[in-house]
Amino acid sequence: MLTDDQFAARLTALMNEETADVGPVPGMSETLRRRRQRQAWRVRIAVAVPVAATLVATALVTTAGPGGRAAPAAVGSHGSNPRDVAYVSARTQAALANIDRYVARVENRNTAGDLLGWTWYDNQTGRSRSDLYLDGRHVESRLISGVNTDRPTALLVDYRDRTWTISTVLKALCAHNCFGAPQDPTEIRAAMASGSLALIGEEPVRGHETLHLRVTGLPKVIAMDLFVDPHTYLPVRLIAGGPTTTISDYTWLPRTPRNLAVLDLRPPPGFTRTR
Amino acid sequence: MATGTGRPAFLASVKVDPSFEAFVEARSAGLLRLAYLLTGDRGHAEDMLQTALLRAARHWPKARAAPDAYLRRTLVNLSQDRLRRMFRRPREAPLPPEPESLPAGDPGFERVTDRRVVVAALAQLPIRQRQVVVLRFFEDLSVEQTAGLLDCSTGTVKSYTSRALSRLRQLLAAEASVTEVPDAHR
Repeated sequence: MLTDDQFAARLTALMNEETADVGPVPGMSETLRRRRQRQAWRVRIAVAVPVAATLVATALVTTAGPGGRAAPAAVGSHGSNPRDVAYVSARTQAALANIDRYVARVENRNTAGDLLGWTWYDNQTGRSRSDLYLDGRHVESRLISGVNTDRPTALLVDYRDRTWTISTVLKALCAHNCFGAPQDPTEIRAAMASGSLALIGEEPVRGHETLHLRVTGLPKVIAMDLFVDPHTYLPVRLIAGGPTTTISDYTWLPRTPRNLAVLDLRPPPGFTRTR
Repeated sequence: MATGTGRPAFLASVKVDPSFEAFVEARSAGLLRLAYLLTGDRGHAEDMLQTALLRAARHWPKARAAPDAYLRRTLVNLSQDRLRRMFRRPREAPLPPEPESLPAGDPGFERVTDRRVVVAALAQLPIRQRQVVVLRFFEDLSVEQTAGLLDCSTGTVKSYTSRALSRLRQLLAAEASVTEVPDAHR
């Protein structure tokens, strides 16, 4: 019979023997680093979520309009500038005032998706060309030139009558296109200056994230929804709701000879000039 | 993406004290053995050791003065917590072995080579007695050190030690009688 001390010594030997194959855990340090990283993220998220919620709530309360509708000033995630309606409006108007580098191509459709036509703008030369489609047929082309001069002219080609006409137009009418809604950069700037603006939020349009501005209180349209690129602040889409709603999608092209050639409207051979 | 040290960038924000990593490399095997004797289960021992090391990492400025003592105390506390948790939830039962995974060799040989009679016997002791035995006879702590670590008196440690040794004698004797090969068959 072993004494307690002898038995304890035997026990110690057996414990060492039975745990001799319990070796170091491979990759323990790496495992610990990963677990610490996960813990750190959990803590960060646990702290960040209430803080972010508080900030959003504060922003909503402080930017709520008189009608109770909140302007989503906190929606912006691009860049470091604050995204309130005044900021976005100012940047958009500034971008629209500085478009000499581009040729703007605008595709116009109705809410059913039917093509109404195309408009091209070249601000540098003061030209705009509109092509009107009806039931899928190209029925009319209109080129307005010299918008920046005292005597703008309009060349109108009618493909149904196979006729064309050229005339001077009042400068005040140059901005009015055949689609019946504010569309060219000058019109958009004027509408933004005269209407009430609200920043609705961020919305994807044609696969791009955009900032959604709504302009109300305009004389000819119920509301104008303008979607601008969050980086360039140039329009990506404009929806003008009036008696008919027009959806205009903007593409800002470089002023290459090929793009500018579109604005060289000439009556096709065989067409008759009318007065 | 990797940082200059070859570590993934998303790990770079965790500050790692080199002395902690050195301690882990040097002592994790010994601490795993301690955790294994306290739990009787290799998997639980590894989980427990990871948890204990993470606590030590968080409090490393304090723990680095006596990391072994810190880890030992943490492991003892965790083993007690684990036992409390086990009583609060349905007990785990091992799954029956898959027929394909059964060893094809001689079961008697397996039993002889893979016997862990002391580990099994320790697992049958009450947790406090198990802790006392492991700390005193595996970690080689004195009665006073064990009492300090377990927050009890030296008398209590002696009492637990006496009862534990007595119970272990019985358990190991019973195990020996079962596994001993009769002389007639040698």
